[in-house]
Amino acid sequence: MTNMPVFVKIEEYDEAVKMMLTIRRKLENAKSTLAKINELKEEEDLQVQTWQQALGEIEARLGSIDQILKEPESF
Amino acid sequence: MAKKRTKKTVKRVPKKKKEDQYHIGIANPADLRRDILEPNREILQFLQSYEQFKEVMKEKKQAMATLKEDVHQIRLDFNRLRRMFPLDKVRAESTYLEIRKDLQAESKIVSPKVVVRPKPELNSLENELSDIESKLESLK
Repeated sequence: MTNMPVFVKIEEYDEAVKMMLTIRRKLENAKSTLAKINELKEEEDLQVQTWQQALGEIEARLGSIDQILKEPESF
Repeated sequence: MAKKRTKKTVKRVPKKKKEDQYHIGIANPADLRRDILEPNREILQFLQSYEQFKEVMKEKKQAMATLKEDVHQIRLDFNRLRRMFPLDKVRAESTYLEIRKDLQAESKIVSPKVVVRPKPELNSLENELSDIESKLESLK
């Protein structure tokens, strides 16, 4: 029964074709929005990476200060 | 007559002896200052970039809302498209007796009072999904 051909009214067929075009256009919009989200996500990731590096540098500086304070010079 | 000024006697408090102070020698003070200033600069840059980061996050949130709306619209369009085509299940025409039997059976069933609560969006999506899946299954 399911493999039998079905017939669609010509008006509805036209509507369906128009609808297909609309869906395709909206899909393109969605794709470009998703690409933008991906771009922003990459920007965020890069920022997080920069922060990690910055924190690492601060930690290194702290270690250096610590060393200076713990091992004073003897005159 | 001028009054004689009386001298106020001020008790001298013996000065406290300064406690022994120790000093630590720092060989390269410039390095130490640099080590303190550099993190300060880093932290300020960090805070500056955080403000930019917040803007990016805001933009991303807006883009995600737009995407959600786009996908919602596509879903509605697909539903409209689905309705344009004939139903997947073609029912055989019921005879008069069968219809009557159905009606009698329906009248016997007492439907319990059900409090209809508004379902959250996720539930309705799940229901729709299972509906479509069952339809797809029937097409196999």
